[in-house]
Amino acid sequence: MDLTAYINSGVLELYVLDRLSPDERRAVERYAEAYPEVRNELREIERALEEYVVLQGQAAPPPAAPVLDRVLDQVRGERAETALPAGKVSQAKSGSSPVLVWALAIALILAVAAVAYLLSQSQQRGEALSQSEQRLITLQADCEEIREQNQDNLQQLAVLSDAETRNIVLAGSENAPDSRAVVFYNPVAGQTLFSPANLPAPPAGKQYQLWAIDANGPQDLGVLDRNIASGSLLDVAYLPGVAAFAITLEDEGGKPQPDLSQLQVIGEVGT
Amino acid sequence: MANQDHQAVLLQLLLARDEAGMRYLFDHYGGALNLIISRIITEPEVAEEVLQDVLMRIWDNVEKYEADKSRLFTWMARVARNAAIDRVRSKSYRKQGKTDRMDAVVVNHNNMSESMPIEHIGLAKLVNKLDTNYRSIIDLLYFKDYTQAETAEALDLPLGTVKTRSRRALQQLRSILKNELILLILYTFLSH
Repeated sequence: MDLTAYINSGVLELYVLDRLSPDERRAVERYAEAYPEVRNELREIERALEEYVVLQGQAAPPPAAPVLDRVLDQVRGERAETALPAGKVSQAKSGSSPVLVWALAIALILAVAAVAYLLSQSQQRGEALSQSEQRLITLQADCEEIREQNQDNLQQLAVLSDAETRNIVLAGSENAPDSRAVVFYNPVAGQTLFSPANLPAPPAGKQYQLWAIDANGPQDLGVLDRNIASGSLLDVAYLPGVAAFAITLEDEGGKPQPDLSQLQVIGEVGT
Repeated sequence: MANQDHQAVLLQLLLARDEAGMRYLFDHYGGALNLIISRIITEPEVAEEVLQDVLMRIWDNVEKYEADKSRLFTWMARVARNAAIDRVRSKSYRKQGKTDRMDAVVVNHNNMSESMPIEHIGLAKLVNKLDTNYRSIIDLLYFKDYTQAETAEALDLPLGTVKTRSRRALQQLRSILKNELILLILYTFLSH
């Protein structure tokens, strides 16, 4: 068949103008399907008529605006009606996306808030933990110190409460009549404890020095701390066969031999 | 091409049952659809009712439009013309009395030419360039529910020549549109 003659016959125009019988219409549709030229020609005719009408429509007075309002009302009403009986599926479909978006947004905000909260909590707890650890270390050290102290005290108490221990009071000499000190001497256990019961603070540049006097004369037992507390109990070196204990006031650092003119207190070990 | 894109956008909006589709339809094609309707129905109140009905028909039946068979506007124009013709044929309309068909065409033609605003000179040029005979056959076939036979009778043509006459009319229209394309694009921009 001659395609050009078919296109020029005017049947395509009448097809677009909807002025063909159903048989003729179907024939045109068959040709349009088979031949791109026919399809393109139809589109061109449509386009021309469209422009013709749209331009004339624009030139004519515009349709009344209330028509749009009424139609929009109708459209909204229709949508509200169909939304109701549409049931769960369509409601879920139409409602799910904004709801989902909101749910996700809220979940995200909550998650961020939770993370921030947990982080700050963890930071606070971390600080508290390190403080506690420090405290624990201090307490452990204290505890150890106290345990040792206690052990010393127990040992001293054992000495004090031992029946063999002799309690020697060193009485004040002429130089210091009110001064007192106490020595606990146990020749069986071989232990000596000393307590400055009442010794005034030594003058500047001076220190108290403790002596044990035996068959060989005065033996140095060491100098006392300048700020020694009265009532404290000191372990001192044990010497066997001590006859008496004495304290002299010496120059700071002590001396190998006592200056007996500076005798402060003295007590004899009884038999 | 741009026009085709417009129609693609419109179709998507309508299929998505987006209210914006209805606004778009009214803004871009309300005038053309109104023109088609008011060429058949001369009473403005009734034409307005039919336009509203047509917009709703397009909205409700857009799934029935077959994109491979025609352009969207061709389908919408058909909906408008059929709605207007249905209304004319209805009893309620007939009671109001219908003037002679041919007279109506002539009268409306005159109205259009007379009421043409001065800024629509591009369109006036286009319409004037189209031979009166060609304009008549397009208007009768496009805007009226005239069959080929009725058109032949109205234009005093042998029945067999309606096809070829409409072909020549469309050919002339197309060549005018092509020549005036730039002017028309300009005009379209200015008119918005």
